[in-house]
Amino acid sequence: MDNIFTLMKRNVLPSTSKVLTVLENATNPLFFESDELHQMLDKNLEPAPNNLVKKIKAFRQVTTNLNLFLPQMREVNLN
Amino acid sequence: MDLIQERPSDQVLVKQYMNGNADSINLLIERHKDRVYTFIYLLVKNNEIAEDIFQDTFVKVIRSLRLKKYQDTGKFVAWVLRIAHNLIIDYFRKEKQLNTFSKDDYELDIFNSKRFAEATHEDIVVQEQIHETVRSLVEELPEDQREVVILRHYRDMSFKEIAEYTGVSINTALGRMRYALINMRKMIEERNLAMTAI
Repeated sequence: MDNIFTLMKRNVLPSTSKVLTVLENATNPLFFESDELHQMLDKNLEPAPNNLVKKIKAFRQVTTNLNLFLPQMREVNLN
Repeated sequence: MDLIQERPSDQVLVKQYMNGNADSINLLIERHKDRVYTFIYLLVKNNEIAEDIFQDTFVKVIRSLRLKKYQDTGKFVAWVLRIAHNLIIDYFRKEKQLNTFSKDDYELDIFNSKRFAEATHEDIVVQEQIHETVRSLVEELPEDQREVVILRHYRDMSFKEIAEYTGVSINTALGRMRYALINMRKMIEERNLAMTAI
C-alpha cells in the first residue's frame, strides 16, 4: 500500500478508494509540520495561479469566484 | 545602525489579522500559497480541481480566523495544510459516491435511464448556458443579496453560518435570500430566459 509520500510522487492517481485509504491514514498532525513534507513541497513547487490568489485576497468583497463552481440553484426554478 | 527589518512571524500576522488588520492575511497568503497549492496539486494531479480546493482552503482559513476558531500554536502553515488535506478527502469521498451506486438504486432507476445516460453534447451546452445565465443574474443582484446567494449556493454555507459570517441575524440572511430569488425570478420572467433543458 502506498503512503502519502509515494502517492504524491506518482504521476497518475490509483483508484479513488486507494487514494482515500492513503489520505485517511495520514492524519497524524506531525505529518503536516514535518520537514520531510515541506522539503518535498519545496522540491516540487507548483506556483499557485496569480488570478486565483488575487480573488482570494479580495474574498471579503466578491466572496468567491462564480466561474469556478457550478450553481446548484434549484430554488430559482421553483414557482 | 543596522536597518534590516525583521520579517513578522506567521504568529504575529495571524494575531494582527484576528485583531482587525486585514492586510496581514495577504502576507500570510503570499508566504504560503505555493506550498499549499503544491500540496493539493500533488494529491489531486489536476489543475482545475487543485484550484477549486486551493480557493476553498483559503476561504475556510479566512472564515475560521474571522470567527476566531483558530487556536494559535505557532503552526499556521501546518493548520492550513490540514484544512487542505480534509478538503481533498471530501473531494475524493464525493468522487467515490458519484462513481458508486448500489444494485438497489440501479433497479429503482432502471426505467429512468436519462439519469444514468451520458449527457449529450447538446445537454452539456444547454446546461452551460443555464449556468452562465444564473451567474450573470447573480452578478446583477444588489451586493447584500448577492453575498447571501453566493455563500449559500456556491459555498454551501448554512443560514446560521451566513448570518455569523456577514454579521446579521438569521432572519435578515433569509430575507436577503428571499429577495434575491424574487429578483432573479423577475429578471428571468422579464427577459423570457429559458432556465430548464427541454
